[in-house]
Amino acid sequence: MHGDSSGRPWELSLFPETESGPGALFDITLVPVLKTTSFGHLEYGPEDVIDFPEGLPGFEQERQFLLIERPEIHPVCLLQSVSTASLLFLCVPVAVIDPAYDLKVLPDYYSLLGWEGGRAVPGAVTVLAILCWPERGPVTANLLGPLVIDREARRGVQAIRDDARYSATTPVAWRGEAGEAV
Amino acid sequence: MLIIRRRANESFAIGDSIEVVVLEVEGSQVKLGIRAPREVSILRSEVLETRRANQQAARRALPAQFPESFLSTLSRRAR
Repeated sequence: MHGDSSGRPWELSLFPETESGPGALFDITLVPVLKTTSFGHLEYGPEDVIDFPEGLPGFEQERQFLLIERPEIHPVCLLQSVSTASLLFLCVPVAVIDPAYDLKVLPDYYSLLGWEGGRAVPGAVTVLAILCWPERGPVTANLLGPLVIDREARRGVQAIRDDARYSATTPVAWRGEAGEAV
Repeated sequence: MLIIRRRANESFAIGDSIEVVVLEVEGSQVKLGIRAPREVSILRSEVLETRRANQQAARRALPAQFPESFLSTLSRRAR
């Protein structure tokens, strides 16, 4: 049922193009397939991969992630590691946690995002908070270090603030099973 | 907590191998220089907090299911 995490986390599959044009009889396309623990086989293309040049704190070796958005878990989305099939983070747009969230990206992060020379395209930037979903206890969101993803450049960083305005463990209020806002 | 009062260009040591120099004091900001062995990790506290939060948040798989009330509460706010 679940993919193995110890073996190869991803594999290359050969998918012959059936609808290829004339003269392309032997044309084959390489489709990378990620064997995830959550979604089984997940096909993706280079355009789906987001580079995190320094990984994430605590996960410095994880340099590539896929951002998975599924209607059944909206507005939660998933950041799935490309190199480790059994590593994913639950995320949610920061505005969902705090509509008035005041984003602060320190200049240290500009070069990682390729923003030097004012290349930032505001419309193409997604800002997500990583959710911590513990076995018990409240769900929390990291508003101290949001993920800033430039969708156009397909680059991301965890842009950790230098002030104490937001917490790395901000409780996420929601109407729980008890029928009251927690 | 040990408290030491230092001025710009003064320093203090932590153990035998770490030295912290106060380089500049300007308004509410302090610029520090740190001499330490390469293997000593020096992180802003916010980075350390985020690292802990990441380690707690990392998952092997999706939760068995999200409570419907959780997603609907968030969805309402996403609009």
